[in-house]
Amino acid sequence: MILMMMGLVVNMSTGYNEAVPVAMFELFDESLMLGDRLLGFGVLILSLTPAIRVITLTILWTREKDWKFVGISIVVITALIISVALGGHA
Amino acid sequence: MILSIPLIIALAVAGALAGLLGALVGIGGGLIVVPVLVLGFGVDIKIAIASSLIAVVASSTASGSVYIGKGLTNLRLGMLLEVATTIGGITGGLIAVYISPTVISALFAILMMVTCVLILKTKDPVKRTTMTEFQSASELAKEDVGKLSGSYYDPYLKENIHYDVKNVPLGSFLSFFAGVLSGLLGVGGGFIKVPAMALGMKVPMKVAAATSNLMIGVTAISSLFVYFARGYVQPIIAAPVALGVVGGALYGTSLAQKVSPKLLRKIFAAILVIVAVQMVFKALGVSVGR
Repeated sequence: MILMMMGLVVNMSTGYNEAVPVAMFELFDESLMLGDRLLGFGVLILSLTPAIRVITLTILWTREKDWKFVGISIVVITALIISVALGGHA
Repeated sequence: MILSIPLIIALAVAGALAGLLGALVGIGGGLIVVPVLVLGFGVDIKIAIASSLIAVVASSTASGSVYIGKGLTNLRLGMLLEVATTIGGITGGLIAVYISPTVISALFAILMMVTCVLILKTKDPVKRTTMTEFQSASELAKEDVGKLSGSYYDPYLKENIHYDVKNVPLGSFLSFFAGVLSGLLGVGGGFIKVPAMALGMKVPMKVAAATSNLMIGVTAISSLFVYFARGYVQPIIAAPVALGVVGGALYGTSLAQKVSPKLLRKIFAAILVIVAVQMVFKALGVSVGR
């Protein structure tokens, strides 16, 4: 959230408010404007939050020895990894 | 497309409204964000979908945590259904780039109307117990280890609600479908998941909404990365919408506790009808608003 707000402030203060598409790998491109880079990284970090939530639940259920749901959450994590891999190879 | 400051603020306000309504009824707001961006701001539908997925993640992050704290979310049920949904989300994200915007708009409209009918038919078939002075909301908010049943205290009804979960295969099938739609339409899938849980799996409406709120974020990212990699994310559009959604969702979670489940269903149904009509117009090529 903070990164996104910073990105908006930078773009608005520099007057650079053009809506341009940013692909994931372009976030590391030096030619990308600072405001768009901040916005893009903010979006990327936000996007990782649900995955962190699933990992946290996996750890919680491991501590509770609920192996059935540990297995289920591992399947979900695997599916998410596959989606990231598919996105990276798009 | 150049965005002026008033336009960025308008995007944030639209996001706030979507987040508020979404938190009330267990959806991520994508059902509202996509049509608003397409019809109100003239954004390309695939860019709108990508922005909506980001907003869904934001809504889930904001309101999901609050509902867990209030003991409404059934974490085990949500994770079980998420297996089917994430597989569906990947499928939807991969095939979305090959489907025309007109078909996507029409599909959106049809599904919203179907969901409207389903949610109005939803009842809450639950067992109620009398709260004793020794029981607190947090004590009741639990799930048995390895089991899907749960309990929670409803402050509006002033009752403890215990429920059992039924028809898991049906719920999983519908969740896969919700995942495909998530990838195709940029929604979290809550508009399928909530009726699936409430109507099909006999879960109380508030639990269905809270559980859906938590899991739609996971559903959204299963297709979001595909859109992100293909350059459909425009951060300057997505960011104000997401920020607005967070604000609206946080307010919506506190409001939801004080509202009756029946009223929530009616609000949900009304939203679906309004937006479905607009999307039909869009699919038919009729200009609405901007």
